[in-house]
Amino acid sequence: MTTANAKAANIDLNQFNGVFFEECSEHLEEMERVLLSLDDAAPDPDALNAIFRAAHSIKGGAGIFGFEDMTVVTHLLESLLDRVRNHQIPYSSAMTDLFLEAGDVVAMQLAGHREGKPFSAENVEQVSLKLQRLLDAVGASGEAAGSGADAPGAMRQTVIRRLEILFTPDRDIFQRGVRVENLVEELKELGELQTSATVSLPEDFAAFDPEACYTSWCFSLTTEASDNDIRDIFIFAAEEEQLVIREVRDEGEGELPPPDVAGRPAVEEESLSSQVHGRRAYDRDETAPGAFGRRSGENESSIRVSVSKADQLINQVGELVITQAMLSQVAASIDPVLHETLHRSLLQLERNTRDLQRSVMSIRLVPISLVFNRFPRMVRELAAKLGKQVELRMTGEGTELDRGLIEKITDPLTHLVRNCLDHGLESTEARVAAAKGPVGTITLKASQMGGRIIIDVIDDGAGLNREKILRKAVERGIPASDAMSNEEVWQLIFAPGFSTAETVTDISGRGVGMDVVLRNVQALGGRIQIESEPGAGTRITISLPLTLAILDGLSVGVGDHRFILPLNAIVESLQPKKEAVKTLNGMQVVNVRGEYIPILPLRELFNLHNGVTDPCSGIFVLVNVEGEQAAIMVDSLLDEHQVVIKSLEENYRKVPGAAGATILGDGKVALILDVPALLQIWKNRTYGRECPAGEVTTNE
Amino acid sequence: MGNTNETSFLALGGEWVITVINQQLQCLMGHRKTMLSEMACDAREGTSAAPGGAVTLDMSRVEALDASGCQLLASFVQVMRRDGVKAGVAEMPASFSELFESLGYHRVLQAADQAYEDA
Repeated sequence: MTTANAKAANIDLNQFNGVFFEECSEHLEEMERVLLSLDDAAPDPDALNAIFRAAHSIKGGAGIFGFEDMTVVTHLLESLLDRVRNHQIPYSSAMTDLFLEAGDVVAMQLAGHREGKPFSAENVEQVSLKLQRLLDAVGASGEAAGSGADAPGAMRQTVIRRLEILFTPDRDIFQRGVRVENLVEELKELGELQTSATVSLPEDFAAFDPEACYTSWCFSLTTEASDNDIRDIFIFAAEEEQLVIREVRDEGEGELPPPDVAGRPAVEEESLSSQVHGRRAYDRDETAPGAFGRRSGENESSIRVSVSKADQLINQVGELVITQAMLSQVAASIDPVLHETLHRSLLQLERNTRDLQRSVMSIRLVPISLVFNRFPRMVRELAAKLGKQVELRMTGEGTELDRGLIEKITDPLTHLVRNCLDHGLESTEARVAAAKGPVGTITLKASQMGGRIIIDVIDDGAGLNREKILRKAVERGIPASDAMSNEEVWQLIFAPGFSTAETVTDISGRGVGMDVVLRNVQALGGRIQIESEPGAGTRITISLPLTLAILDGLSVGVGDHRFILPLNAIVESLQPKKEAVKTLNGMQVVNVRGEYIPILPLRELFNLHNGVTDPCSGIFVLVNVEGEQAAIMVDSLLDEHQVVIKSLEENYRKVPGAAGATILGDGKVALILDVPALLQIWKNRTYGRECPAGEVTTNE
Repeated sequence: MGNTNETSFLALGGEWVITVINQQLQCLMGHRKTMLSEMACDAREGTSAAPGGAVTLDMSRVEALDASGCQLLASFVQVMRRDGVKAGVAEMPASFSELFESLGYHRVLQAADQAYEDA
């Protein structure tokens, strides 16, 4: 349906712009992904078709929704791709760069329309000119000259052709709301049209389904329009193989031959060779007007749901879990023998609630490929800029993690990859001199292990230089010594402002990256480890929790209060002997197997007025954060359970030392402890630095 | 419907569009069943001078028509002719006639006519 027809039918297409923007983004991503995977020397025909279809779909959708400016570049792109896939011109790596540039320009236009902001018309014009020049350069033949007539706004050559168009739609075309009448009207606008229909009835008319389409059409069209103009009309109605356009070269009038249907018409060889299963735009939009339709007979593997709806559902299930916990708590005080049925039912409710929570939480899980897919292009361009040869390998792209994590892990990973490119990998000459292959490798690996997501960024470069790092640390006044292990030395690079780069490039080297990376990862409840071997390369491992919405925690008591300690931070718990507790430099420590670990009394940290004060009467929960240990002193260990994390900032305010809160079964609120933050607060207090107001008192 | 040697007129009405097309099929199937049973009866009794009969679909009261409606009409005509009944449409409003033709279904009727004549 064209915009004019939509207007005529009083259909407001603006309400569907969001769908177009989303679909367009996906097509652009697909285009980029396929372009980057193309072998310039021998491009895969299926890949070329995929790129062509993506460009074609963007152009078609843009035209329908009134974003005509987006059709200019896509049309030129489509024309060039058409010539390449029809072997009229050879493919080259310069085309990859140009097509990527064209994709960027279309993305810029898309962003402009989506956000209602102006964009650079100059960029659009530059890319259009480059594409047109390439088209003209390869269009020395008559066929290419004819293509110039296709360009929107260009002068049309009056080449009138007589075409036979065979249209064999899917059975569900009527049910999808596709109006064949409209397609015919649009064909009539292109020239003189004759139509012939053939209905292939089932043997037994009792099996006839009036809602299904048993008709195939043969259109005889005398027109100046191009094949692309005709395909545009059928963009939402026909897959590539369902529309066959051939030029009739015979002179004279003749009866229009009916389509050859033994059910479906014969398909030409070239159509067969390019037969791939395309994806029609907007088919999945259930709210689209009848003209867009929906593939009711197709197996739908997914539906689109807004993030806010998914989050709302997760929140409500979280509340359900809390309510179920409350019921369980109440039931604990009821005689299980007298009320056996009630207890059994509550147990069943607990099981059902956990299952529901697990299912709902999986909605938030998205594959890490959403992040990884940005790196092929980045690596390609940065490698070219640095004059290095680099191969990027990715594994485990299907590993799923919480959507909230995906958004926050992108920047840290980007910095790590840029660092690999800039500092990790050597130049081609240096690699050859070191008897290595000229092409350096960066590997991105994602996997799930024990309820955590593990992301590795690995390079086979020169590895970290221990001496250089130690020297730099000393220069910057960071405590360091030759006695430090390699692992401890590697951790020095996370210090603020630390960089051993000789020069600052626009890629990296300002020293403001790794400390931010560490902070960002820790803010997500994650950890970073580094392994490196001189001459062989470096591996940086990021470990993240699976989800930000629920947590496995240990409930601890301090006075009348309860806190939740994340299980993944806990090493062990113990009751200290008197002789194990010492004071060292004004700080209380406990001797655990020969190691003196600082004691963090929760009562003091949160300024509580009751609770155990004598360390020997309390319980120590040993925690380990990035290699740093502490003994958190509590009154009692209560229970281990999975809790729903509620945001303090959203519901109250930021509380230093707390990562969030949860509602317990008895309805009380318990703070979820942010162990790294607690460590830092305690250090600041102990060494007399500024304390956060309200929650922490000075150590008397 | 009367004697199968005479032309029967079947008055169609209502909307012949995708949303209600199933109902229209039921209506046509009912009439087809009646016609076929009458034909069988005539054949057994030897009362018909010539086999078959004719039915004309009167479309003067049809209120709406789309591609699915055109397909159903063309299909019904085709199947009736396959059954040995000469079927045709008449009194089609000009706009519907235009639609029928623009969608190419008039050729279906022509082909069915030819098949009937050849039989």
